[in-house]
Amino acid sequence: MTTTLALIIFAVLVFCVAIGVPLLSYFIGRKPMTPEKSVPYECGMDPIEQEQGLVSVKFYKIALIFVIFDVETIFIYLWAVSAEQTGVFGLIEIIVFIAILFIPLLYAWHKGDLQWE
Amino acid sequence: MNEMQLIDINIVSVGPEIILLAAGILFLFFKLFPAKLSRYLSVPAMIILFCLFIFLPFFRDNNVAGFAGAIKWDNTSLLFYILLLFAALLAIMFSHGKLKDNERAGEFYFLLYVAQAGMILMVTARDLLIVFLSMEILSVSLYVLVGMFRAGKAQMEAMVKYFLLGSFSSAVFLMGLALIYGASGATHFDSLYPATISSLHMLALFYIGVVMVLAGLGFKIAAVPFHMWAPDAYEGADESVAAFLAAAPKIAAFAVIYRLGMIMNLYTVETLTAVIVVMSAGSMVLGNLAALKQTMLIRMLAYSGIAQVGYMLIGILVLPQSGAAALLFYLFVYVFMNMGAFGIAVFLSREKGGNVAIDDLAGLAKGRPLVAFAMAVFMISLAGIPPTGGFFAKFYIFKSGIEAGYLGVVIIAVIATVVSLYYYFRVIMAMYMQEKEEGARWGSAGFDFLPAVLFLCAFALLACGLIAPHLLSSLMPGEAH
Amino acid sequence: MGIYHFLGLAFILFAIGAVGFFVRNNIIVLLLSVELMLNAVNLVFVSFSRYLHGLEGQIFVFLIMAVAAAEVAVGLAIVVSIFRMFKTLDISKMNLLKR
Repeated sequence: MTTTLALIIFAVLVFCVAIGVPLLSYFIGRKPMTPEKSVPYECGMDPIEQEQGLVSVKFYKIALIFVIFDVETIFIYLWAVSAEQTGVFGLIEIIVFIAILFIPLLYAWHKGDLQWE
Repeated sequence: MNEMQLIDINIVSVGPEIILLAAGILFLFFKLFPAKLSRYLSVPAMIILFCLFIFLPFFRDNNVAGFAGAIKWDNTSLLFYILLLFAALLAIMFSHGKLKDNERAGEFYFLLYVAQAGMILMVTARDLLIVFLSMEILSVSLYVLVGMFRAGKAQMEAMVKYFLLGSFSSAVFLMGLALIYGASGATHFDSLYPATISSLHMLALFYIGVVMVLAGLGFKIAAVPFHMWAPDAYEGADESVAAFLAAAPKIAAFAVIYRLGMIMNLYTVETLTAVIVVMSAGSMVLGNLAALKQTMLIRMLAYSGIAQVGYMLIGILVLPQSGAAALLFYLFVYVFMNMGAFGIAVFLSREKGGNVAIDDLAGLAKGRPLVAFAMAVFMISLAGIPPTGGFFAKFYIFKSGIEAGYLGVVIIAVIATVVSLYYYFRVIMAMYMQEKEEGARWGSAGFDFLPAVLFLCAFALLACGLIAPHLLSSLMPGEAH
Repeated sequence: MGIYHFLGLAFILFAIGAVGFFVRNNIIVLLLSVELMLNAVNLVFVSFSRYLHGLEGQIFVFLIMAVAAAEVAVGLAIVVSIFRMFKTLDISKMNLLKR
């Protein structure tokens, strides 16, 4: 019981510190927002031109599709580790899983999100 | 070993979900068909939901279990399942004729079906991890649904607020789940209690976990400390989506809270009771007070929905006894009265265009008497006045609360109900007493799909009031598990 | 190094994420805070799994990672469309809906 109590006291302390420090800086800190602060730092010189060119949205689209399919492969890793123990059953399971993953890929293809131009 | 696993899976236990997902994928690839058909896409969508009713006899009194007990159907989850099907059917009816192009229509029904599949999984899940997974399936599709129509700034804002608060709440839920796992070594509902007894020194950790899980679910039902997203999301979303959002996720989350309460309350846990009392009383007080000063219809309904959640949470307090039937009956009535009121908003916004203020209802009784009558029934039912279903729902909840000794909460609930009369009757006054200023008249009074559906909802509410005692006794769940 | 050290680290991360969620205004930072919270949960799961000598906790982590990726993908898509419409990612500037 004492160890749990220690854990709870610790957790409460942690929450207090984590909330307290930002609040403290919020109340006693000064935050003047001068225009210079929002300018990118270029060796102390004023920037010659604003480097805020927008990136084309197709990069984001490809990146998003990549993120999903990339992370879903962790289940294939899990299967690969236990492939010998699970045998045919595991093989069928993973084939079903990959088949399900194919549907969104087909849909993205179908909508033309995989086309660069 | 392999045979064991194959038997454990039991594909029938996720049959409805598989059907919904397969149908949803068909809708997704619907773009190939001629564009004229998209207006009638709601017809197959409704037919498929009707077909899911065919599954009911398989599950009745059958206790189909699958995935090593992580998914289990019993008669209570069957009742939640029927409620979810009703909610989805009404939402599809409200959206009928709204979707003009194929791509949007296909995606809309796909997302609706995925959300529905997630909710059915949530209702039948017996493992907290499966609950988390299904809650995410539900939430992710709802985030997209909220911002789908009328891509204006307000919609995007509603979507991003709903998304951010929703993902925050699922992180909180997950932390609670992790603590429960640490304290009891299990996440399955049935093994929670025995596991805690065997490791009593972890009990405090276990309670913190349960409270955090309840907080995560509180976001989904929009109970008070976690209600901030609801009015914004409802106002920003399309009215038919808002109707779905206001009813269906609440049913699913209540199913999970019901299961948790069934386990926890059996062994009298005071902390859990305290949390639910706070959520309930806070929802009733804040929801009703905030609803008083609203001028927009949807925001008023949003706050009134928060207040209704407060009444329903009283049922959770008295769970193992009479609370279960009272809660289920309240949810049953809530689906019709709340979605009906949102349906009126759908109807009015279609006639008028844009968001509907309460003053826009003026003169509705003269222009469209049947619609006005339906709205009056919804409002009377939400306020809890006989002979509608809403009265009996409140009556049974309050009665079970008093019997179990929660007099304080019930007194707050009664006072809150009296306060709520003001804003519900303001709507009725606007419809019947005020004259509409010159200008746009209501459309033709001929037969229309939406008013007919709304009228049926109102009729169902009145019927609920008449057969309430009988219905309640049949809703009584026969078994604990 | 007992379980309390790991749990303490996880709670600190969770608290930082939770506080960051409420004090920051940029949507991307908000998303980062939520991710921090989710990863704190993963740490809790792994350390409990070690403590209880069970494997379930580690399996849960994989599931949570996959689900979090799906959520983040939707979130980033929302962020892109928000930026195209509002030309800013400051959540405090989005107050069209009455509060």
